[in-house]
Amino acid sequence: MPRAKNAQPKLVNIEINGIPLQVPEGELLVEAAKRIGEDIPIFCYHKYMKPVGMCRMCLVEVGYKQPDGSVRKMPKPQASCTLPCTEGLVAWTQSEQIIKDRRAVLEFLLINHPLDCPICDRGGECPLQNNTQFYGPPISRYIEIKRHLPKAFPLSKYVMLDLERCIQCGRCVRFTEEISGDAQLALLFRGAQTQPHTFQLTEFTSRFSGNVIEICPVGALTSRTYRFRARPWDIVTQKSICTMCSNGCNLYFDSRAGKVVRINARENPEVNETWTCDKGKFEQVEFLNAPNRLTQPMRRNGTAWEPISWAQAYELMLERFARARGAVGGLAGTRLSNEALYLFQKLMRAGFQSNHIDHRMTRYQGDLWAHAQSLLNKPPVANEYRDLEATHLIFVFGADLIDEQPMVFLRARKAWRHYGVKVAVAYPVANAVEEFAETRLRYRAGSELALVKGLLYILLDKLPAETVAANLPDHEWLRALLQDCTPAWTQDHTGIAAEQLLAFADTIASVPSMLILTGEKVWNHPESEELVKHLMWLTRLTGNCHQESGGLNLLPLGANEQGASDMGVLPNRLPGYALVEDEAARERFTQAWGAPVPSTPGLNTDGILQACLTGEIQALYLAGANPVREHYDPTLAERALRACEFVVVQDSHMTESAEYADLLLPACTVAESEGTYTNWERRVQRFWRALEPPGESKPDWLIFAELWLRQVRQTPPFNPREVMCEIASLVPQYAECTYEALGDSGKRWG
Amino acid sequence: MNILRDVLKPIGKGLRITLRHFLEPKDTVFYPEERKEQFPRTRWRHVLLRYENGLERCIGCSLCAGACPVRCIYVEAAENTDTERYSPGERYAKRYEINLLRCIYCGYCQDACPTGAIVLREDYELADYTRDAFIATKEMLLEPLPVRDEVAEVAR
Repeated sequence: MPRAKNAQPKLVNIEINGIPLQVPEGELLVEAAKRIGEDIPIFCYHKYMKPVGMCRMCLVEVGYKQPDGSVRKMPKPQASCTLPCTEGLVAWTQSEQIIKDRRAVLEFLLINHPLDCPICDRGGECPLQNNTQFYGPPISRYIEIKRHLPKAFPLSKYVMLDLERCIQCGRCVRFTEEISGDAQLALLFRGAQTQPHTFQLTEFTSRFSGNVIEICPVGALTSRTYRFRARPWDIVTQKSICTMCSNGCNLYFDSRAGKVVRINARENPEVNETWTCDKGKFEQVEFLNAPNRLTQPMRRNGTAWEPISWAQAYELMLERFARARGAVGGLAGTRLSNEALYLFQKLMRAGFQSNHIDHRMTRYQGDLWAHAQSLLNKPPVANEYRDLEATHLIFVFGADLIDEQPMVFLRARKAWRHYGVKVAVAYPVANAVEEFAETRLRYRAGSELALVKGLLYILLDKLPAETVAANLPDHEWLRALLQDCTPAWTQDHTGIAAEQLLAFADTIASVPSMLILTGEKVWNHPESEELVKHLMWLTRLTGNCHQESGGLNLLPLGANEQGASDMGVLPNRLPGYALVEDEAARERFTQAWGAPVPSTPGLNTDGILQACLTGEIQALYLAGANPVREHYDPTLAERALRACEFVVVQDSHMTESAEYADLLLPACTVAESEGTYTNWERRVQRFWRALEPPGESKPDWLIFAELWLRQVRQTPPFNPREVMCEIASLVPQYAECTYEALGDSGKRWG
Repeated sequence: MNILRDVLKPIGKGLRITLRHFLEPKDTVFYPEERKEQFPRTRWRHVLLRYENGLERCIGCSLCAGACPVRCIYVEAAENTDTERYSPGERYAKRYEINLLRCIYCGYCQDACPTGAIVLREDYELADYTRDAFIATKEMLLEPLPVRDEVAEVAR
């Protein structure tokens, strides 16, 4: 059964250490105890995994209230991590017996645990160390020789295994079974020889391998990239957001001596729970510390780069942009914060009088917002993480989910595993979702449109006539449009057997709600606009545009692609999706910005690049964008950049596109600036500054603000907080997204 | 006024004290030709000790940096390999720096050290001309390698 959204749980009365309290029925005692501030020591229990009661650290004394008011105690202590709360439960967590038991459990665990804490990477933040300090015996009575096993065995590119330190809690094994689903780790052997390992001692190749490092309660699994880099007291921790995809995982950046040395997950139950993917955890550290950082504004001088000051750079740029007289274009990257993106489009529109701005690098460059509003009356992404668990069918279409949206993958898997949500996947090649998907459609690459057409054709017949009439009142034209798309035709075009398609259509017709997740294959389809429209019709035909827990989710790919659309980095939309042709909206922004906004829609990314080739755009501003790498047609991007008269590249690293620049402006990474990101579910989340900008580099928002000051001669904003206040006052969707209201875990709009 | 009682006698008394001290053994040390012997528990400049086989005692655990009340110690650790071994075990200190200007010579680092690698010894001549010179690096702190007395070994 899918999880009911916003269901009210039944409350039961329990008593812990003499304090009566009410908790939802079935809540585990170890969690219930946290409500009165009683932290029961644990090793094997993890909030987001099934309890197993392996380590016996969480023992408590338990009794039950009898009808006559007396308490009947259980004869032996119970593991509180496996004990669900029921009416009349009474627990003691501090009794003499329990104190004695905890000491005994710890002494037992420490018999074979090597005390190499000084060189262990976990030392200082180790649950075993902490629990021993609080509850353990001060000395060891064990004088015999300890067990010796191989030390520092590299399990994968990122994970190191030290078998001596393992206390056999099984957290890592359970993680790969329950959460990531690759089930690569297992507890080998029995008794004192028990050890976690891959089955055949092969490499551990999970996409989520970094999590086992974080959940290991001792130093048995440690990071190879962080190995011996720092101790917990050496590092400074700052809250941040992941920039590797649009999932918006909450992270901690741990830095030492001006470098990020490690990334850990920050708990946010609505987003990433406590998980991260290896891309966000390891590749991001590499990205942040990449040696090709830009630290100085530079001008092209023949074939060489000439370092110049910021003042000279601004002067040169404004002079060249003024000479281009409105024939300027701008592409923004999706790693920029909302504040930076907002200031970017403000500068381009009001400062340089040009609507030629965009952020999209895929083939789809149409007016997505208009289509979604007119066909579905919803934003292009209808749902949030929680809806994955509340829906009945998750249809992953054209997305390699584990690669493009790792957290969505984990949540979809959780929905399938815990709530029995059906999963269907359509993708040209094998992918990880297929392992738990009920329906697997491997269509011929590029035949996405035919597949959706075929599904629509079948569903138009299969769904009851009154449902079709209710959901699509004017469906006759659709029937006419799809008259050729019979199952046989679809089989011809997609390579999917007609019976399989019919069976899947049956499934769609039978479930009350369906949640569609799309990916890169949709954005980069040659007829992507048609495809998106057909997907919207499919959503509408099945009635999912009215479902709270169903709908179409055209998942953005870049970290802040959603934010870029929201902030109006689109050729025809102002912040908050107001049309540039809309007189009233333009007036509102002109008033606020103190400079007029051009009224004609600009060119999209492809248009801008083509215009560079024809000379219609003479100056191009690439703010964090790297079209040579990210654009679906790198050759076009390369030719355009070469042809364009004046290219300004503002980026944190020396990118492929920066090679074609005439002026380089060094910007900051997420670790060095402050701001907000909007993830795919439109959750606006803050990130904080962890490091000082290297060299002379400046945060993106500051560069735009300083250009704004020089171009428009108005007071610029002094910090991102001020920019967000301006956004909140102008963009209705972000009205409640001031920094005070966002807090640590963010806020979802719409 | 009695010349003998009021003038010569006090002068003689004073000169007697001078003479007594003149004949006593002297406390003055002719620094820098001579140096005063330090008490055994004097806490002056740090020394990183070695084991008898020449391996460094320091394992780069950074506990000294954690215990340091003024945070004047910076430790960067690295991994020993079989071909390049600095200390027993897996970990050694690649960089070990102490800012002697900031250090208050409290000796907490010595207390915190799990291997007895860092000790505060009697070298008190720490003056220098530049601030940079007060950053004591690992090379400066480390005890010199024990010199093998080959003549004695051969003789034996």
